[in-house]
Amino acid sequence: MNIKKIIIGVSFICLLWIANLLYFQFQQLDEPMFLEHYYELSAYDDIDIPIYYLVNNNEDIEISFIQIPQLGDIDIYVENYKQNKYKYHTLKTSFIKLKGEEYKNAIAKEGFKITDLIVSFSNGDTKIVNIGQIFIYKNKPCLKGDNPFKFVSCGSSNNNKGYRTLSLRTPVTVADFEYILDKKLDGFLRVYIDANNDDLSKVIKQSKELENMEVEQKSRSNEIVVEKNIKEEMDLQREVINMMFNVDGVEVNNIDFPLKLDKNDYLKINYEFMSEDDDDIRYYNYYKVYARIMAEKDNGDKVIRDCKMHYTPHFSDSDIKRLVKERRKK
Amino acid sequence: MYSEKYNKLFWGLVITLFDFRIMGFNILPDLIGYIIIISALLSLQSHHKGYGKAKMFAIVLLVLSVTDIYQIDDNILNGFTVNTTTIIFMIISSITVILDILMVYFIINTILELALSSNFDELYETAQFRWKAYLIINSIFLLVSPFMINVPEDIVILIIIPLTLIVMIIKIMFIGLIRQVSKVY
Repeated sequence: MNIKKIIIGVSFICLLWIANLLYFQFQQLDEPMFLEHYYELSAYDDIDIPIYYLVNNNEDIEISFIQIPQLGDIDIYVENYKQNKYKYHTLKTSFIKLKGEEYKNAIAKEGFKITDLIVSFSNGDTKIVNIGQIFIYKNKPCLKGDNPFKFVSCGSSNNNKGYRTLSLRTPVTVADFEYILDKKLDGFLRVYIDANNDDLSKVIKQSKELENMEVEQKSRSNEIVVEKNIKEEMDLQREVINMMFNVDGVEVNNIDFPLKLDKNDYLKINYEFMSEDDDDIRYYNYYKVYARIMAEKDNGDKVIRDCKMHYTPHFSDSDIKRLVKERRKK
Repeated sequence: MYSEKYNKLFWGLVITLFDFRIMGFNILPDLIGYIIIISALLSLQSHHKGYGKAKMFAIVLLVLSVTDIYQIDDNILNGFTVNTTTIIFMIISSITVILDILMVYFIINTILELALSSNFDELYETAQFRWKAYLIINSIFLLVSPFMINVPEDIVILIIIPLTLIVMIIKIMFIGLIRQVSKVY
């Protein structure tokens, strides 16, 4: 082994280390990076607002407290919750806990919109950060008029789909569907309306059968449950879930409103957060929004009903890497 | 005549091979292993002066082994999170491997010279083969290590576990060679 070969070998390894350390350093964030949140929340009593942000794995930084500019200089309590570790970064979740007293004055009129937060971190830094758009309403945003819609069922899944089934107490004419964040959600949130009452009646009938089976089983809880019954129930459950999540209706954009619905008619609203562009950066945002059903009863009374839709991203290492890259471009 | 000294070297190398940690503390620290290795190499210098060069690297390894006494009890299977501490330990580990290769090189080179002069052909061939294997496997480890801070966690686990096993096997083969030498001299 000659000294020249040793020097070349060691130099090469040093170069590999330098290159990798530089790349590692390049991936580090200068400061915690807040993700974009688009929420519509109603101020009943206390509100917990989940806020997501990325910090370097290297740094043990948490939010100590925050101030919301609209609420003055009150320090608001923050509960630091879970964290997910990725290659270079940790995705942290903190809950902003708003208590009645803190925001009573701010919502006295129509509520308020939060776009920026003044955040104090555990390392002593204080920063003004943009968190997206959070609307806090005094009342539930779209409850207006006597409710002609009767709730039947609702559900959401972790593949960013959900549904809500309603039935009609009285005849109505659905005039339109609206979103507050329509520009932000255009081409990303797809809402479908299914008013095919033959199919819906079948699903709802099966759903009720399932409920009855469950009630019956509970009442016979001390008896030996027959395996056949369990299988039947599970099959039915699977069928009902599939039918409910299945998008059969017409996309709202393609519906020629008004849509006339009679008493006892069913209306199923399906939604999915999905973009035609797989690289759509909105896949990295958090959404909790309402679609508003704008309707009119036969007597001319205007009615607005809500349909809650939410989207929570699930990140991989490469998603986080891309998110950081995109944010740097901004 | 030198059997006892080679045996001492053998046991020193065995101690550096294994880590038994309780609450992060190595109950069989490499530090003890290197003290035994240095002592063995010092006495083996009377057999061949080539062991004196190996001793120099063993002394540096002894100093570096201080970092091995305590390490955060972190199982790689629970996830591999890269932070400043892990990077420092990985760099120290790479330096240790380089110095270890050099120490082993001077030990095996001396064994080769002794085997050649004593016409122990079988020992000569075994030593030559084990040195090549030792150099290749440890070089792969050195080349792969810097990338571990940037590649995805599952790939790290996929590479590090088999590679560590192979490195262990190759080290055992080297220690076996010392045992073989102890029976000959």
